[in-house]
Amino acid sequence: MRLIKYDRGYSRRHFLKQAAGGTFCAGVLMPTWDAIAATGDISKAYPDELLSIEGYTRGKIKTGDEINASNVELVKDLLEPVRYEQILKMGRKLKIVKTTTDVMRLSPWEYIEATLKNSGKGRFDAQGNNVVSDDGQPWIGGNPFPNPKNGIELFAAQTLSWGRHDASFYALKICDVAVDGEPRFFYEGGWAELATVGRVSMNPKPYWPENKDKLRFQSVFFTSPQQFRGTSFLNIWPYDHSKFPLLYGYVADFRRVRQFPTDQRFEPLLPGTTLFLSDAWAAGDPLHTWSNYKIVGRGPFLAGLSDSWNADHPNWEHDTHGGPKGKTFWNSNVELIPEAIMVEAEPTAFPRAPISKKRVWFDARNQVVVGMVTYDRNGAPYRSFDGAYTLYEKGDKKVMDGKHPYWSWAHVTASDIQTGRVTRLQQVQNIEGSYVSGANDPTIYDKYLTQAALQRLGAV
Amino acid sequence: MNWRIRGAVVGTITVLAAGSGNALAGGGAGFQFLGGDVSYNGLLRLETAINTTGKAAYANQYGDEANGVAIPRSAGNPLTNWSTPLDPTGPLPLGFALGAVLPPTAGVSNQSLTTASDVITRYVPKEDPDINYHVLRAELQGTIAWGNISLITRIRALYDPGALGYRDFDYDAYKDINGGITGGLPNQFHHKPSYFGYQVNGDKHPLLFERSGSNYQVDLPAFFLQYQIGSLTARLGNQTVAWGQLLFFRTFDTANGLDVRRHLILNRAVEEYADVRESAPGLRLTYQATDQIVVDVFAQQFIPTILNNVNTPYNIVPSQFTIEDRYFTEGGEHHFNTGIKIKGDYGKFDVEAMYTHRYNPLGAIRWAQSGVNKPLPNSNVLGLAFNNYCQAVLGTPIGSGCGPILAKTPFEVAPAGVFSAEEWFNYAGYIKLDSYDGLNKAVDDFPAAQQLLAQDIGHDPRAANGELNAFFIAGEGLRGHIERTYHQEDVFGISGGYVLDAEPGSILDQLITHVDVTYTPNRTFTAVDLRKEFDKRDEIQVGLVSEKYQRFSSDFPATYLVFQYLWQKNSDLLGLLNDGYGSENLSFNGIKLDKHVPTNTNPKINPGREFGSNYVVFAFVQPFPAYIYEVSAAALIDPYGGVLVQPGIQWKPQGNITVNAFYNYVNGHAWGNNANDNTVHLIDFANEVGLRLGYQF
Repeated sequence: MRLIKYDRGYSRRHFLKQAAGGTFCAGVLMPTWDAIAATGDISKAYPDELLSIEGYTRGKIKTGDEINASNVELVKDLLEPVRYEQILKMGRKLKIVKTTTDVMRLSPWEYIEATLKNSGKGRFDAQGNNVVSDDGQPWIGGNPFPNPKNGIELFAAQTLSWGRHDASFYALKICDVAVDGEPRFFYEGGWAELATVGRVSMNPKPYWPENKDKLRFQSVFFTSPQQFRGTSFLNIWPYDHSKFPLLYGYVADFRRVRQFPTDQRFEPLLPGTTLFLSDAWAAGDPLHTWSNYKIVGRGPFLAGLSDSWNADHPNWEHDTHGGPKGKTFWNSNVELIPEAIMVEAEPTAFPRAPISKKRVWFDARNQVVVGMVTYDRNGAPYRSFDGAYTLYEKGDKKVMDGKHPYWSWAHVTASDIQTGRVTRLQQVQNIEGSYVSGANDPTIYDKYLTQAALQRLGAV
Repeated sequence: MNWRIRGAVVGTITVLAAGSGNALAGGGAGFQFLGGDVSYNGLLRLETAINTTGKAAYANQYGDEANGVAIPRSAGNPLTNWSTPLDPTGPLPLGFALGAVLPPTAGVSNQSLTTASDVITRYVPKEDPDINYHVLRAELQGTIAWGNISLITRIRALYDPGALGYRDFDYDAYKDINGGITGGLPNQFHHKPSYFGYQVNGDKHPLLFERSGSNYQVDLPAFFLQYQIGSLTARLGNQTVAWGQLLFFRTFDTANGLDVRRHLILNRAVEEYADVRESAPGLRLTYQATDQIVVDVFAQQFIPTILNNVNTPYNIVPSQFTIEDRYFTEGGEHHFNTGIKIKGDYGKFDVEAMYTHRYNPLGAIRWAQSGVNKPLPNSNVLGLAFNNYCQAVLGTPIGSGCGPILAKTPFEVAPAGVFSAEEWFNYAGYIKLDSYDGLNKAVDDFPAAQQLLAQDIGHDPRAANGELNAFFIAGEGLRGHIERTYHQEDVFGISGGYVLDAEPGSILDQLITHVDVTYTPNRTFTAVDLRKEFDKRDEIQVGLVSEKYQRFSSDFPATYLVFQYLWQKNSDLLGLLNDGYGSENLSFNGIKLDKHVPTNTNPKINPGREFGSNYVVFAFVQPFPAYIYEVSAAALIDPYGGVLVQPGIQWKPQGNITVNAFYNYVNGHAWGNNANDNTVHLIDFANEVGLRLGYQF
């Protein structure tokens, strides 16, 4: 018989005690980052009840089980209200997989290495504006705040590196599903992002000297349907965390690249969807265009962090279920996250933004975003986002990123709570054979991230 | 709406409904051909424009404002420089006595004994279309990619079934009058209108990547190999090149001409020239020299702007004239345009410089010999007299009358021409030409015309009236011949832009403003008198565009707002000289063909535009939440009294269906007392409801 040293209420009391005291340190039994730095494993930072679904539910739900309407009450506290309602009323299901304790499987290898190597060197500059390294220069790579003390540190790290690779290209498929369960809009395209500072894999490191004043180049383009083929946008982010990116776009009707106003970041990118530029990685805007960052809660959570690569499909495409036609939700694997940190923020630089605040869940183990709910101007829940990250490794199949398996996101579900529409996004292996997902390919700059590239990708 | 229109609309909706189904195709990809990755998208669309003006195009035969109007005519006396009537005082040349026994010809009544005075009623009826435009469009875009090399293609096919509310003039119906029409391209001037067929003199298929006929057009707007190596992209093949920050106004957009055959420029305004810009074979190199600087270079075959064919619904070239297009005969197919543009982006600032060496795709027009050897009709006394004069005095062969002489003038004896001085003045003013000097140059530049006793009448309205009517009576209407030729020019341009920062959410925040300036030395224009030397002047364009997205509420997405202004020193939006603006009409009989143009016995001709041509555009696009609906409006304002306003709505019920409805409100006499003062008057017959139902995959 195994003695349970920490009972079921211990971790809950711990989270409440820290919240009441206004202090924050990830980890229950010891600081999470200390555990990671020592062993690369988070097991010593959390009690058993937070390291497995069996422990959390006292065996009522086991790894491999499915969360559905019949048992969702057991994990209600591990879900945002929207996913809970979808499971309860719309037939959404989640499959439980084992909690990942090896932190090297929760982010790109080089990113974690740099986080460990550069630990303690990150800070905000004297003006409290930009994240800098100890020599006052732009950040040098990895997470500058692996042991975050407040909400803005979590968001700063997220904004500094979205995909945690120096460069990423995601081949995308997007589907908008109506309330009747019928898909109404399909889109295909690509998303590219390339860091100019804080580089950990691609030379030159840690900076691209000519662009040290910038944070990243990022573009998005669409290849289907015909009306949107060749529509693309390029954002060039300054390193200054309070300045808006420059925005250039190739609008298919105009047949040329033009500059666009950049402060309207709450516009639907595509008809039928409610995806905004602001939603990207839950940190799609410059850090200081939002404010009032505050931690509002902590606790275990259910989210997709592993086993979410569909290696059985040649194009990595995912199957669906739920909703009136079985097409509303991705088939998803989730695991128990021992500790998620809830942070709220308000869009203070956008006077007529349709949302009043966002609440974002960060995984305390690696500080990735695992969920987001935005609220309308009346404070009512508006949209909910959840997704899945994964290591692209399954059995003997793997996708390599340099020396290590590729780590990235796999799919996202964006739910418009007020209209009932659901937008599903997935990263696929390729679009049209030519646009292939991957990381740290230096050629993506010329392929996707210049005005000449927009012209080339543009409608003809 | 008559039964034909109702049928068309019902049919349209039925086809669309059948096509939409429940399937949501998303193009195609995922297979290989010739070792390359293949992808494709497509579009099927019904496009309709319902005429709400109740008028045909003024330039068309059925829209001629002289149709059905009884206009008294009196021939002038050549011995008094045409300034006095021939009838009461003139000597009666040989044959005039036959007047009493020659019956009136078509449209003629109230003949005097000598037939030198009469009343002409243009015999072509006035018929107005119910529908201006209806086509079925299919487009398929395909790409085969071999790594960084790809073949990119887009095929466009349009079919216009005709009928269904059109009113098609048919020249064949008048072929029994004076032998019908001899000159001009048969597809344009001998039969029913050709909706899409593009031909030039000497070449029935002048475009390598297009085949077109009366009812169809199939072309490849894109068909090129693309090669990317590092920062350089090369495109070789048929393609368009679009430059410039201004929308609608073409300042930097100098590489390609336009093809306005389909719906003129009256399609959805927010789509700019996406469907109109004419592609051309050539090479384009785009080089991202640095993060800030992009260099764009092209060399393309010269292809002219393609105008609407005669008697098609949006034609603006008066159909009493026959255009001889010299694109092929002067070797235009072998000419190349070249250009370079360098753009630098420096945060909130950007600068551009461009240079284009090109043939102006608009071309220039002048009088041309008709080449039609056909005598004046002997069915009227004046014609008979002139023919006898030509044979007896000028030595033309017996039986040929004045045919050999007329062949060397810009005129042809043919039906459905110009019949009266009133009609002449009305259409010269409409198309921004000089009624007096246009006549004088047809005489001065063509000695043969002088052999027929035609004289330069200066700016004497009575002489113009007398001379014109004399020949129109003699010819029983005359068709004019003009030729369109193309000329080299160099266009230099600079542009600068700035993004304004202001209080977040304020109307000035993120306002982007650009100013484009171009200079074209020695541009060849159509002279207002159609002289053979054309009119060469330096042209300057200054354009300004300010645009932004503004959120007016938290419930609706941002509104896109754009304001534009264009000033052109010497010419208007269509490339016509400003000098030709503002003419009044002539009539000694109180006949007012255009009620919006002052008409008197001593009209002002070509007062021109003192301050150049000025145009203002304002447009907005307001999407609704989730972009299912989108309302928009665009307005083109000519400060001299013309407005074109296009409100519209787009509805996207699902990904593969798009419905567009818009209304073109065109008013060429919104203010001021002379519609010839403004450019919009040229198309103010085109009030219409546009409807497009598209299925895309």
